[in-house]
Amino acid sequence: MALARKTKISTKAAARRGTASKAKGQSKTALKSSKTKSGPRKAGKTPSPVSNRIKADPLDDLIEAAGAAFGLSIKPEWGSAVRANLHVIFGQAALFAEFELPDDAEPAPVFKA
Amino acid sequence: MDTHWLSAAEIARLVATGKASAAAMVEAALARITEHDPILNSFTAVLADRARKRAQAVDIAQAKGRSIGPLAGVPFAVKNLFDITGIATLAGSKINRSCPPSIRDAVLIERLEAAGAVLVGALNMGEYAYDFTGENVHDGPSRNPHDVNRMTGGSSGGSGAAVAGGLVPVALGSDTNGSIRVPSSLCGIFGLKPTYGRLPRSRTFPFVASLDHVGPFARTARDLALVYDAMQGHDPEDGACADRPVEPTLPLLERGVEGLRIAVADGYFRKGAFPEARVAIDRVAAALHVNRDIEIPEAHRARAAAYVITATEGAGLHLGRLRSSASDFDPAVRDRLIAGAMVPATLVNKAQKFRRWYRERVLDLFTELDVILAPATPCTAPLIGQQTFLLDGVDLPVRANLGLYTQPISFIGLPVVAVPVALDPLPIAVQIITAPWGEDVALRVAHALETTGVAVAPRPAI
Repeated sequence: MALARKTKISTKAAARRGTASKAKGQSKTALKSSKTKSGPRKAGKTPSPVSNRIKADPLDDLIEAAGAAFGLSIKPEWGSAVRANLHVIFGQAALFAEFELPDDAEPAPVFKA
Repeated sequence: MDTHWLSAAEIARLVATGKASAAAMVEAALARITEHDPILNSFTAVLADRARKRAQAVDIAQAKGRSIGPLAGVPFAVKNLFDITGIATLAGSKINRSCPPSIRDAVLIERLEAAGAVLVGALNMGEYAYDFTGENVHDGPSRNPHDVNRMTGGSSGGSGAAVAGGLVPVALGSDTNGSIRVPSSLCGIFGLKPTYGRLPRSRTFPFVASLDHVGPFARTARDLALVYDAMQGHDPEDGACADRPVEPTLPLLERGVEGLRIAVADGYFRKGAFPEARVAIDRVAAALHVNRDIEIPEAHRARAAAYVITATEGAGLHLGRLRSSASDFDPAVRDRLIAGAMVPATLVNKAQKFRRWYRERVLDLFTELDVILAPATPCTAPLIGQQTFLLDGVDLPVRANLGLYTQPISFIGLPVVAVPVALDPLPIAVQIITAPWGEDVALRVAHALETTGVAVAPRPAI
């Protein structure tokens, strides 16, 4: 889909500029770990949302790790949609993450003590 | 008497003068709902018994010469994320159906009923308000009264359908990224998203605390003002609600637009607009004699930051439900929320910092302007089920992009009145945007456009 395509480009572009670098940085790790984890799944283990195919996306390990850390049971058939949404979110994030703000810029809070 | 296209102001006047009873007005609304809602699918609960009792109380008070309020006998309905005593607050979800019934009405329902209005039911909406289409996998889509095969827009889809279809003259909705303005546009009615913090959200089911607003829909600008004035006032239960005095807008409605400095938002707000959106904005600009364009700086980044804050705060709100009941979500909502849970906090913090920066730049514009005009949606109502549309030559998802022009505005909480332009065959709205707390100005402009016939809520054929 065009948005996903556009998003991937902007995510990569942001990574080159040092933004969204976490996502990009994880891609190499993801690809490495996919090789080490590609053996038969252990009996009784919860199926990974992405382990039933070759991991080719930098976000697959993030989804797997964060899903486990947050206690989310992500069914395999949900994996591609979650990944697509993460691509969109990181693509959108790149638009403002790359935008320079002064160090003393403060967030816009509403909480008042 | 043909009552179903009467405005709230007309109904209140008839009841106050004894020319009609509140009971008759409510019965007419209930009959209209019975007749048309099987198709429009705008209601998820019809509260006939409660409404009849309430109407009877209004009529008794009127007969005894007691004060019955400025909205006496006006039927209204609320998006089903507002608490209603005795029923569970669904917020468009399957999961919340197992929640206990609410023990008290939302504060805005209490305020409208204190002004004499009569609640007749709860309205369909996109699940957990994470939606621009008005579709709901659990309750079915709300349907556009101008073409029932088309979307109402969302997430306050039932609110849009019920008001545009003449089932009620007034409805309440919520707007995090455009959920009042998008249905107003696709259904061809007036909608007010007030300044962030202006109306209390107390006892409504939240979505994104940083961005959530509540507000009214109506078929005239006067009704918006009437209802908005009845709902104003601080409520400490909503931590974001501003402690400001009530500032009535109705007495200012007829002041006209003379002397107002108005410009049309250019750049981002023209890019991607379908021809109908351009026609509507040009028609409104011409009626107001506006020949000045202005660029809202970095609007595309503002939309992006709103997108990320929405995904992450929404995920934070629903994390427990994602753990326990993920399969019970609408898949389109669930998958976005799961993704939102995985976004680093550094990005959210940057989005909030950008929000502050952007707010200051946009407020600078209002030192030399009073009003900015922008399209409410890029197009008229898409077909129900339509997945993508062509924006600026790129095929993009409808669900995420109907709010393209509303998100950069609600991101910094500016007040907006969406005014309908009755194009053929389908209506579309224009946003009248003002500086914070400038609801009176936006309503004045909306009323002036209505008076000249440029803004009108078209009556559907149903």
